[in-house]
Amino acid sequence: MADNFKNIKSLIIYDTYGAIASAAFLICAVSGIFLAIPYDISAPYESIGEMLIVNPFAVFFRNAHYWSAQLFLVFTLLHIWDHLKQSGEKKVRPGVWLRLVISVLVVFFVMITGFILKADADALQARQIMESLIEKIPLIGDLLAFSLLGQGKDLQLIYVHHIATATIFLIVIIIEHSKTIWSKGATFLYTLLIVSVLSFFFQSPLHDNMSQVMKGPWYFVGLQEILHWLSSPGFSLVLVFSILFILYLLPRISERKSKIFKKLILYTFYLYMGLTIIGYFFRGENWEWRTPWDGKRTDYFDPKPILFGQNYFEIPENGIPTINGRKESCMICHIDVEGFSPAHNPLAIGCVSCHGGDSFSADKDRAHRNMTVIPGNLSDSKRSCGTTNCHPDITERVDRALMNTLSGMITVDHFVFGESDSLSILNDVHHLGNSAADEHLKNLCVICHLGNPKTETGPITELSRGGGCNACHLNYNEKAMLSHSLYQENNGTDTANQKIHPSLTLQVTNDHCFGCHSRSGRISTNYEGWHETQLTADDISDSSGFRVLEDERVFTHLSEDVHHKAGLDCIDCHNSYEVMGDGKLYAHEEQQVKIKCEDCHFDKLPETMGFSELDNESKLIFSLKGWNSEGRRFIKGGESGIVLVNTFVNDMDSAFMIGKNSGNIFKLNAPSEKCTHNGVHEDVSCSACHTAWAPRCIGCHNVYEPETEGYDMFANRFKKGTWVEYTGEYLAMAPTLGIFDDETGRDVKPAVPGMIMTIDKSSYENKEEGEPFLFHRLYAPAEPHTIIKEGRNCKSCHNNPVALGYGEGELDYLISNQKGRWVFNSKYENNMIDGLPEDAWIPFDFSDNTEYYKDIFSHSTRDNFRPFTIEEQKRMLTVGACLTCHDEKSDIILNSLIIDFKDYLGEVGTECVLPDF
Amino acid sequence: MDKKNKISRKEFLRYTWVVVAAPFIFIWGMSVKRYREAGTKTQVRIADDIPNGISFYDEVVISKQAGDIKAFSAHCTHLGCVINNEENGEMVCPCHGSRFDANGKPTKGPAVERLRQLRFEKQDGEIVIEV
Repeated sequence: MADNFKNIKSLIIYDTYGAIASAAFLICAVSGIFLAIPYDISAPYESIGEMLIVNPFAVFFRNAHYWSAQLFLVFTLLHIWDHLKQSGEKKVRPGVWLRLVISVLVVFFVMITGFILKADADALQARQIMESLIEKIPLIGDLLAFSLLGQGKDLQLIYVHHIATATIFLIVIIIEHSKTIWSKGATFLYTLLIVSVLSFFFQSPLHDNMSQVMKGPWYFVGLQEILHWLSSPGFSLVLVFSILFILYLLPRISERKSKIFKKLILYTFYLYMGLTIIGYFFRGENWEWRTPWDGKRTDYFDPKPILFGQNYFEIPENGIPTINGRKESCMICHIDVEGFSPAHNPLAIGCVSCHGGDSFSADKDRAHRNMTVIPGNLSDSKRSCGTTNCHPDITERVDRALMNTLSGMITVDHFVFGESDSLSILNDVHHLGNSAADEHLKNLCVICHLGNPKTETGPITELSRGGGCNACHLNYNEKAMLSHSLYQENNGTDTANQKIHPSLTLQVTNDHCFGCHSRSGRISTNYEGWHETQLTADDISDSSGFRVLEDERVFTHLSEDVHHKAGLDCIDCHNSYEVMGDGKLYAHEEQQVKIKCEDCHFDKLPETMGFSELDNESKLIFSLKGWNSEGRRFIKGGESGIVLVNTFVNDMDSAFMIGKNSGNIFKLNAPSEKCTHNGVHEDVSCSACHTAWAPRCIGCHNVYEPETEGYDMFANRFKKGTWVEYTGEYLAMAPTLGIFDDETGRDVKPAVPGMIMTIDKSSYENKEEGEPFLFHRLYAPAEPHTIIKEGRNCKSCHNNPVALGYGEGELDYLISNQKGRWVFNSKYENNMIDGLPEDAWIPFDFSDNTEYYKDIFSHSTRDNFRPFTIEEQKRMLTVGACLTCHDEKSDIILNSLIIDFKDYLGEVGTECVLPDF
Repeated sequence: MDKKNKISRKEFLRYTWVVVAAPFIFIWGMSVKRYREAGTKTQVRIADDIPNGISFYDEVVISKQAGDIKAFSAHCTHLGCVINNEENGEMVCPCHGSRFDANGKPTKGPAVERLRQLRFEKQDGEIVIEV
């Protein structure tokens, strides 16, 4: 057994450590000479990149240089320890020992300068660290740093020291120490064999300058970890020089002390190795903790054999282009791909900046390894669209934007499931757990979060959900569609077939929004005039007036939004700061969306801005659209303070809007005099009057069915057991009105039955068996996006049970015995749980002791939104009573808008019968 | 001369080395000093349309908050690494994870000093920063 071990050891350790180190040093020096030929000190990173792409033979020398250097370092350290174990330091003359101790520093210097000379992101940062550390040496630090490393990014001095100063010093030391520079022939050949095998299979590292993970060479990763813990990094020098000083002292101290110090050195070494392992495997981006098994990095020991025998590709006539200081092999095969927007021209930004992969390999499989076929998903956006030189500020904002967090949706769901008391707290879809509400959200709601990755190539369609940056910016023109079809015919395996690349542009069409916004509030379909039915495609014999979506839902046509009719797209009103967020976290949509109708429809010119005052993003949009800024001023958003970049005011103070996609110019019309001529309706928002219809669904029942197959919309996988929603009727009518009421003021807004629902919470894993159903009757504020030019008439609010919140039915004003009273017969039966008609928001009950009004803010999906109070209903219905006799255009009614209504009522004749509540 | 105060030949040579080396070290130091003094200051010129938030321009970081522009050296005050990444409104050093707020103040170590603020002036639609 012992013999076997010895045999194995002799295979690995085939000579003394020192002899192997010498042989490695020789190989390193010779391979360095050959490496110097293709290496260009004036463009070091580019020249190495080019070498990796086009010159596998030079790569062999580079790898040999690297691996022989690593062997030299390892065996030099083993050699030192071997000496110390045998107390060899006692046999060396003091002067020689001093030079040997100094040579340890020189060995590390020659290693780190070699690391720096590759001039990639790791190397340049390492150079900065070296410089800072050396500068901390008292008195001579500054001089030494400058003399060893030179100035700035110029690597010439480092190159000289690497190939000459340090190398010559080491040669002298080796000769002085071992009396020869040559190793035994067999040792040299065996070492050469090991180096060659390593060089063939394992490539010397080169940072792609894209990843934010910065690490020093493996032998300094432990030091990097130590430095991470030191606010005064100069102390690390104390540690280094202490070890060297101890080494220097060893021949001069007693044997007992010497043994203690050697043990100290050994334990320090073990500790350092431990830190190296931690730093190498457990540190990720920004030196934060990570685990090797988190799947983000798999190339720790990734063999990349040199492909000597590959069929050489034709190098493009003008060579391999340099993109952002980096040679990209992608261009060899994909140079003729077209279709990009100018800002994303691959000759400017390359392929790797979006798609990743290995840009230093001309081998297709290797180049495509770890490539992101569909970049722009939020999971990779920081490495693609959001890299430092592209759109980092926007990806930061999008992360916090509502389309990514879905805060409002989650907050309301938690509330109705009784898992939260507040409707104003912030939530994030990425933090969903396994509670009943979270599972409900995952089964039925959250598929539209922007972080939901796009996993298949092709355009954004009605079925698309999420997709990160692609969701809005990905565009396929006709040629790109054709090219994509060819790509699909090849089962998506040969990307070289896809000659027309889809573009990423500011052409954000309504179709981009449609997939997600045709659900729930359905603003995309509403805007185009489509109302969802509960029909199926088979139910429609005549498809005119109907539209069947790709998901097979059937819509019927009502009336489109006046802005849609005029040709305005969603993004003509909604700017980049409210779609992608402004960097702040918001609980609900109405907080993030700040555009107001009044921003464009005003009777007095609002604040404007000159072109030079615009923020950078607005300027960029403006210039990419190619609009003319001369002599124009731009309207500033009233609430957001952000310019409406596609509006302008001319010299005549006339205001216009430019269609962001169409380029058409629209005159911005002032609101009707009715809207502004007095303050009677100043609390009423534009949409409260001008909304033609809003979709309503009356009641739904939610139950968990453990045996039914469901779908986890966050994890994107099928699973057994799911929440199921049984819905009631889908209706469309002029909306109910509610009031945002808080310290900022009152604002009457459209409201829809957001959550009239029952939840069988006990059905979820039978945890709360026997509990009664949860029941909620919550209305939600809404902007249905069905604006019409003519506002609602007076009766449409004052005499309308739906507008007032009682639900559908007959609301009549009856007069008998000179007494008037309002009577309401609801269309729907009363709900068994709360006794209100199924579709009602509030009871038709004016008695003071009605429980329902004790906490009036408890009936909506917002903490600051409420139905009309009893007093407000009485006032509205009093006007409604007048309207039963007087035409809304009569002087009597019009005058009531001018005079205080209470005083006005005091003047009415005896023939008028006011309601008795 | 007292025998006790006699210095050996070896010791004499050692002192001679120091005496000989000293002027060379002085000349080396002066050479580097003069070379560095002769170098010119670098200016970074950036178009004056800086986006809100934090932007990185190689050796310079610009922080624009509510129209107020501040320029900082991109070199981390811990060990000089170039900061080129932002996370949650903070500048993050890629080497050892130090973080700085938009005013250059360290919010997480190991760095403890503020980022060096750079002077700049606006000239013809550009921001000119002395580095």
